[in-house]
Amino acid sequence: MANFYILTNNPLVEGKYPEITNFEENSSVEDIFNHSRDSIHLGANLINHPLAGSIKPNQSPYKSLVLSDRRGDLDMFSLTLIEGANQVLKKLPPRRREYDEGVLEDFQVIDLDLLDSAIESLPYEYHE
Amino acid sequence: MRLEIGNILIKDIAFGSKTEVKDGTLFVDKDELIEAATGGDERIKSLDVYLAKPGDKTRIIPVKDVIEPRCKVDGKGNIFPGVIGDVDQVGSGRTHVLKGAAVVTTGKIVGFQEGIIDMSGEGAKYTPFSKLNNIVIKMEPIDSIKQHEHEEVIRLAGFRAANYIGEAGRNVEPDEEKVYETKPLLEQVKQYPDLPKVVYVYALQTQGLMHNTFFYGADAKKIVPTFMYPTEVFDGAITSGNCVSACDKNPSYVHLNSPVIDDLYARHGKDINFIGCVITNENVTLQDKKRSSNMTAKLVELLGADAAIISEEGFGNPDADLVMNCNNLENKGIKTVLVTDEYAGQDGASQSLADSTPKGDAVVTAGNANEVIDLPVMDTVIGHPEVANIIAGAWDGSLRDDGSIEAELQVITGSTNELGFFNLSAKTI
Repeated sequence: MANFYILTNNPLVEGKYPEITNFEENSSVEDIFNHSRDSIHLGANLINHPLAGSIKPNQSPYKSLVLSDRRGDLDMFSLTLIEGANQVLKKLPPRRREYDEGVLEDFQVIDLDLLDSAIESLPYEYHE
Repeated sequence: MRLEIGNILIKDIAFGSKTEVKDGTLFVDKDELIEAATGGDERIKSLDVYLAKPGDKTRIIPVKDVIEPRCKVDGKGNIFPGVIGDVDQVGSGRTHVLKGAAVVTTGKIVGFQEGIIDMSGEGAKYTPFSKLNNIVIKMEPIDSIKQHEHEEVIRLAGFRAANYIGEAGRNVEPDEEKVYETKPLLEQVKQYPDLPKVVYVYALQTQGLMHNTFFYGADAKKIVPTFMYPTEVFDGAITSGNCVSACDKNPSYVHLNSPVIDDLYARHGKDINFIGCVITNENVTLQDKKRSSNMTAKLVELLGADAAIISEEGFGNPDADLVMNCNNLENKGIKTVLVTDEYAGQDGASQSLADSTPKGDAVVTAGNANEVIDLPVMDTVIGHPEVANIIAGAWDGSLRDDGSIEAELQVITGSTNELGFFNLSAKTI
């Protein structure tokens, strides 16, 4: 069993990592940020940076975050990062356009690729 | 390591029956260039070449990369080692540059791809690449290709094109010459013992698809921070596969002309002793970020630096690397100067970076990427104009019916480049 899980609204991630994915269909990026913040308050560590790449969080509708199963003391580093990411999201103007399916798939592919980068370089303690 | 750069000034470009430089004009044999750029890659369905000159009413969109044509005339290796040809050590000998010319690649890899170069009008003021004689490569892959391969195919076609064109400068007498030299560390320290020793910490965007950078052809995501002689970049040791965040990514052209390195050499031996570069990456996991910034600080300390310049590439997540590098170095007593750009909102009033530190008290900014600009109609559009509605910094209706565009500065290639390649900045009011 893995001792981490993925919180995502990206269906491609759910398809690739079904065993360890907490898939929140129809969630927004803000929801994913807020739900991971809640887990961090319960003691989870954030493993990947919440702002993925140079794609702005108000631009891509998808977000995948890797969190540890850990429960215990609050990790301030993780909390600072997720709160910082939320601030960035609030600062940027809301997205005002609908994307077609091709563009949505492109965003899913990029989100999955950045997540794969994270899974490939997971800290040792998270390997089974 | 000593490198002579011979600049051949290119004042005009035209198609011709032979690829050659004659009296400052670069003539390009279109058929031969198409063959060289295609390079037998069966994943390419079509490849065409266009010319875009300063002052033309031409828009290029979406721009993937901009590459300067160069060739190695003396010394080991070739331009873009590990990407084109073998991975020989570069950075010494002699290199000829077709200064004033560039290869620009365009192709829609993903639907939200960014990057505009306008050759005239309001937009031209915001990109350094509007001043160049551009040879634009537009490439379409075969239908079955996926995003990862599509990115690779366009990237490599661009380097093959630049390599082919660069050869035209091999036997041309340069108009101007520059010499850059960095000695092995202990000799370099002895050369100017009384001047402060400065290292350049050169962070490369390396997070994944469309966010990649390569060092001697190796994916820099997988390297640990390492030492680089500054002259290596001038021969293409660092190449860009990054096509997200048009305004503040580093196109290959900017790596080849790294303004931080050029400026540090200009001060070298006068008021600083520029002892070399440490290249590092900007990865996805926090553990990778900690490892790389710790190793960067260790390496800079080991080199004996008194001060470091730290640059970043991209927005958001890389702000964390910038801040970690700053804190780690300052905690070792090494003074830092950071180079970045800002996302301060359309009114410029919001916090500029996603992370910050009180130790970052010397920062150079390359401008606010959220500034709204208006781009007029152009007579010619090379590429895919429909992406203007989808790119970052644009909104639905950004592309007006008449072809004009209202969008944030972040859509313009190179506008807020974080190596300070362009002329934008910001000041406190």
